[in-house]
Amino acid sequence: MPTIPFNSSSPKINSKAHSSRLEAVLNTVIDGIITINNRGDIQSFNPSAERIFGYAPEEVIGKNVKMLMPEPYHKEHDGYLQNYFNTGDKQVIGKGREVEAQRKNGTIFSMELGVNEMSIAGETMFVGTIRDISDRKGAEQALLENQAKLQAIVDNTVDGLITINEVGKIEHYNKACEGIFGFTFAEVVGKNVKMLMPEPYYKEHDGYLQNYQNSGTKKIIGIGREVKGKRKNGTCFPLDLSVSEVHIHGRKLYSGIVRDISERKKSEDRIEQANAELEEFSYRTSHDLRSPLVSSIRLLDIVQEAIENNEKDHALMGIGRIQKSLNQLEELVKDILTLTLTKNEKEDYEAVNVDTVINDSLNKLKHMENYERLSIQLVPQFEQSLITKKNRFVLIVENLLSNAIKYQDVSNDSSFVKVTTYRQENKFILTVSDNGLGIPKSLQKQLFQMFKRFHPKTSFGSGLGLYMMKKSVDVLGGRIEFDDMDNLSTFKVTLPQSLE
Amino acid sequence: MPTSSVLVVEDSEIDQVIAKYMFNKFDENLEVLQAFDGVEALDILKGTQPQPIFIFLDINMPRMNGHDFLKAYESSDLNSTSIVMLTSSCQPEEKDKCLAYNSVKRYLTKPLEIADLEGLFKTS
Repeated sequence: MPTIPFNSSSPKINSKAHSSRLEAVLNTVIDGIITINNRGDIQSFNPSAERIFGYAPEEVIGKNVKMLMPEPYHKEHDGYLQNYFNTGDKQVIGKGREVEAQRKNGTIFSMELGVNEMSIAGETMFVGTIRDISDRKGAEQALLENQAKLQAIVDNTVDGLITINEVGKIEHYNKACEGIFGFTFAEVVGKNVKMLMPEPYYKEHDGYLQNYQNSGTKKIIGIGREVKGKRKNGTCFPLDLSVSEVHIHGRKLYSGIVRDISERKKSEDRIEQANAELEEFSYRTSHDLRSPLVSSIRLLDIVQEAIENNEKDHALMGIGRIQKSLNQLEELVKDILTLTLTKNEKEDYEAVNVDTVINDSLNKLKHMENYERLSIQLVPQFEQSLITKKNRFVLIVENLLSNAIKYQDVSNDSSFVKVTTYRQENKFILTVSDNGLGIPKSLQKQLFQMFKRFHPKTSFGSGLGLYMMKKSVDVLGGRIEFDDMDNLSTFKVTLPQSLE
Repeated sequence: MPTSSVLVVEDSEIDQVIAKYMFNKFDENLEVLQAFDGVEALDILKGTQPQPIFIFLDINMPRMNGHDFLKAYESSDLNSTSIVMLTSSCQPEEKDKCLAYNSVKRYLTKPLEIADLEGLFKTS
């Protein structure tokens, strides 16, 4: 490779040996070295400069150095030189700095440039030392991009990310955390992370950290578990937390990922409850279906024996008992079918005349035992139509009324049921009160559970009526309450009077 | 020889009839005493000598239910007969609660089977 000797324009070098040593150095040094004269014309251009810029020395020697510069340096370089000569103001001389340069092929790259001034035979010259740092710049750029990407991920992840230091002070807290806890980053940074915890974690957390650092006993690090968090508004919620330990420049940090699992917990609870109900349901149905059947089979044995012994009255009595058992069975099966239907039924909202529903229901229940001895008082004060799911509403009304009829106190000469309807703050209210047998205080909390019978000997019930009613009220977005003041059992149903 | 007896405390007439039938089938010499609630049961026990070999007790009854009967029975001077719960409730909590009484030896769920009686009388 032809090279232009560095000293080609330095006639004053006195030692030949010295000159050739210097040349060897310049030819092998990794940095590009360029000398220019006071007009900016290139005087020498070493092999590394060739490699960096892509020019052969003969293409650049004698030309203005600004050919190696992109705009704005290209335009301004003559000015820099001029300025220096006029004012002595050194912009770049004696200092290293990062500038952009242009290769022969037009590409622009970053380089580190050091410029020194020297005087040779009274002529001011400048030596530029050049290091191509485009690789390093590229790496820096990639690092920055990577960091931005990571930041975007951290900011946009649905999980909360929190980093604390060794003493529990919060250092990082991403956007998701703001949503989860309600505190902004500014409100938590530098504070102890226990502010995000309810008791007993609040009190104990410093201890956990201390304990871990002293003994290495991991309470949560590397394990991950369900804990409780506390929001800014004071409410507590379940969260999944996993913590890992990170060491950065000799500092120990703990990085936690938190996920609000309130919704998941709610769903789990709902599924658990549904499962428990299903289990209870299948057990009870099999048991309750079987028991009148088994009774009937036993009773048939008794009847058969009675017939064989010619005891007609005894046989007839047995048959009467079988009838009773089978009627119970029939009632149970009927309720189970209704329940299944109610569970599955999708129904549209429609305008319902409440008074008509109540009267129709009473009409339907007329055949019930002791219906006629019950005084029925209607106090209808809800004058508009109720927008609701009619079948559900009818089920509620019928169940309340039939319970009042079924469980009247036959020893009371003035048994009554009072039905009132009215409107209260945009809600429809239905109350059904009776002076019947009531429900023992101790059993009232089981009132709306499946298969609960409160008067098993008075009348056979499947134990599903109130349960179905409660489910229906839930579907309609309402509430049902029971109250037993002054020997009166009162069910109060509150429903939205229209779709809200 | 004094007749051995069992006492069935049960408010359902059908269940009483069936229980009596099952006991007769199991051992026709066994006398079956019937009480329709806890109060009646205590009365019968006070007037019966010797005491029945078993008391079969339902839980859900008017006037005095099974639990109240057990409390009254265990704090009375009658307390000597083994009690067998005979109920439709198969909830484990109920079972545990009943078996916690000293006098309760077994917890049977209805319907009563001959095999239950065989097991019971064999081990007693």
